[in-house]
Amino acid sequence: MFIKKIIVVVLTVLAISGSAPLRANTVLQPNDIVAICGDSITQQKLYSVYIEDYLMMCQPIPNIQAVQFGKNGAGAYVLNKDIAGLIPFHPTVATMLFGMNDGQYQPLNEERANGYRKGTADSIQGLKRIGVRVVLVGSPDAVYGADMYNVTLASLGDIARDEATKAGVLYVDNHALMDGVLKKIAPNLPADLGKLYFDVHPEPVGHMMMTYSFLKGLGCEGAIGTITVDLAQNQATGTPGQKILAVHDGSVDVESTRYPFCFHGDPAKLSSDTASILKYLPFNQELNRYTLIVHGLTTAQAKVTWGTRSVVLNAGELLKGVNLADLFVPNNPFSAAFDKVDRAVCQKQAVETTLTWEYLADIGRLKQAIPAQSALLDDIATGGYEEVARLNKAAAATIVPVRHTIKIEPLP
Amino acid sequence: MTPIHWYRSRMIPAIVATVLALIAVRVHAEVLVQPHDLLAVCTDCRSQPGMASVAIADYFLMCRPVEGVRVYDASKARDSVEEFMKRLDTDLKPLQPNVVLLSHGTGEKVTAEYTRSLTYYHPTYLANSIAGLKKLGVRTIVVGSSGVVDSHYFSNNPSDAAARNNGLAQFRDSDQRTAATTGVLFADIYSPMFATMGKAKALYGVTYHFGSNENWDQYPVANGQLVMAGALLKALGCDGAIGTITVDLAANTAVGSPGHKIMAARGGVVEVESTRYPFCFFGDPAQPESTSGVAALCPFNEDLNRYLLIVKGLSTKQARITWGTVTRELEVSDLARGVNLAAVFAAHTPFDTQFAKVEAAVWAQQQPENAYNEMYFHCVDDLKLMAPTRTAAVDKLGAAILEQDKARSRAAAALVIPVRHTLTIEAIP
Repeated sequence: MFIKKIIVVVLTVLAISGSAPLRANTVLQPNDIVAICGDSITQQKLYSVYIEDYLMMCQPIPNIQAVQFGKNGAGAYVLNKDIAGLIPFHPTVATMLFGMNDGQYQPLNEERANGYRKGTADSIQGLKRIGVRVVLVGSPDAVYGADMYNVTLASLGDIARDEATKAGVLYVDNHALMDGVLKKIAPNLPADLGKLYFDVHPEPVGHMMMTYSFLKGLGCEGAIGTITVDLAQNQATGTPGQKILAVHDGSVDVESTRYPFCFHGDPAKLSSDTASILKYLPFNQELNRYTLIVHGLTTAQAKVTWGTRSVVLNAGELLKGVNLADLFVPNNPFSAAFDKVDRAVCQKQAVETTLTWEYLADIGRLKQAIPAQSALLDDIATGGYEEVARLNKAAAATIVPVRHTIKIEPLP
Repeated sequence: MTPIHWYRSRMIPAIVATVLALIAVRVHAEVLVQPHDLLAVCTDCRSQPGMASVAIADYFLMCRPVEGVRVYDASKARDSVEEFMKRLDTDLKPLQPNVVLLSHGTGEKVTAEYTRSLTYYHPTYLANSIAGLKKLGVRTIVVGSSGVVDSHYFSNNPSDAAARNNGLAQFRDSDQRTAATTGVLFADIYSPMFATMGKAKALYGVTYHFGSNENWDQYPVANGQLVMAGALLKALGCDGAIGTITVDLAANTAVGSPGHKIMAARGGVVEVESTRYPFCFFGDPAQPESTSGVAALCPFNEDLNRYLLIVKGLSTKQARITWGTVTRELEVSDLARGVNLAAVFAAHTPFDTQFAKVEAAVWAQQQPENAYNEMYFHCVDDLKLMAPTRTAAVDKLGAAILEQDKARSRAAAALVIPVRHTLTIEAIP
């Protein structure tokens, strides 16, 4: 009996270590403030919200915050030009996603290439100058069906990579990833829908690709949590953030402070919803592993019920570990709580867009325009900081421990 | 031939002849701007400091003064009529303009959607904009057509530029139809700009910048903006009669039209005090950033800037006219019928200094308006969401902006003081 217990413990430890340590390679540190910078694609507040969702709920690093810094029509140079808007937030990490406007929707010429090169280089230096520790430059998106412009965007991506390398900062090839995924999707999607979902300003499904790119670029490893159940012993263990409350008759009650990333839509069907990218993007495999390991099954199959849904799985799979976050899409016991946080983050980022790009970035110009009201302008800015702080706290406060039950029933 | 020589030899006789023709048919028309009106100029290009909106303000402050008038620059670089339509409630509504002057089209899409834009989007959005402006209570709306693209710089390809300008001529015709169907005024900006561009490039060379290029890195500066302003002023009913000084040398008398008080007239010397100024031009004629280079090439002086001197009682063939520090020799027959001092002395007039002071004050008023528009009026609701504990401060800022704008406009108007000047008429034996 004792030896059996030891074996279970050892297997559990191995399983956990096999799913990679939580933050082994991430460049993020506690108290980091991540500035998500870009153009109108960033200002859509989709991938920027998903990234912040992930950092807050899925891979919680103590006291981490993000700030949205996307501006309509911005080229790479604009970040450096308007960097004053970021300074008050004291960002320590920044992602950059520019290029769509720099290419001007035309074949690339030397002038535009040089403009993007200089803009990227200047903006990297600008970020460093204001104390950003980690800069992650992303190559521009790919656009569905835009063969000519994708060549331009790929070339701009090469420039982004060169400038990132020269400046000694991180780079992620967002364009190659998106281009590859879109090529896989194209045969399965009518062109008009492809254009609709993956245009210059993509639907949520398209933003999942940028989310994936940047989270990978930041070194996120995807080990959300592991629940290991020993049916024979009526025991279960959870990794940090997954507290086992009770184990009884194959049912495990868990209280989680670390959530899996939750999706919307049918993963089997291509649509504008986030879930529909999962067939083409290894998001769940690489960034969203919420693993259930079951020992002690004496039958070949078992029914696993999580929340309101059930799936039938082989005992062999369960012994190796299955990814609940992938199996239970779109609805799982975290979905409601996840959406609540997502809405709070979205609301916060909407205020940040106004505060950073629309107000702070150009406040000097407005002070010059109406010099007698300089103090009033500063007071309004203070009101903006206060509101962002309030919304940050409110978003963090919506992350509550989620209680959920995993029920494992051997099938005869 | 230098531009100045060309001007002297060709333009003075032309100016005289044109003025004569105009005098025969013109009457003092009713201007559609009323006292204390706010005019909002909404075009798709901004220029510093020689903007169409500044020239229009200059005109209503000094040349055809309307009491308490304020001209606000609500233009936005690279604007389209669609974007303008979307901004009405945010950018225009708080201003409560009485008169709105429009000019869009140069920035419309030039891709495969061009035809669709011409036949559907542009006229539809323009009609919607007009309906929106009427709903805001705007009394007078002038639909100005678009300007032109530069025949040299647009795509660095004259054929592309010609094709684009042909397209803009179609936009002009479309705008005229829309103005007619919606019952508002129309100003053809395109035609005088196109004609002036051709003359200017013939005189100063093809590299003389006049219109927009394909990326809007270049757009009409002071030269083109003057032509735009002229077309819009004409549409507002400005007839160009700045004033007339009639001198009878034999009787040793002179009379001035309203706004031009004769202080003394003796021995061919006439002292005048004017509260109404001719429009004055600035800068090096060869530079696009000045208005002086196109003044003689566009119909501005003939249509909008007639400050006439009529001299009777001269018995010689020619006479020497000195106005301020400049002297010109003119035909007596021309003087008997009337010559346009504003055109003949365009390079230097006794009004220049005061005109420039007022213009600088107008610029000081209008220059920050773009910041007000983009950073306050356009996003005031966002600012209140951004700082919900400071909504009163946001409102206070709006009130302060409007008050500053009014105060600066009043300050510009206060600079319009009577100008004393002397005309000396000497017969040349």
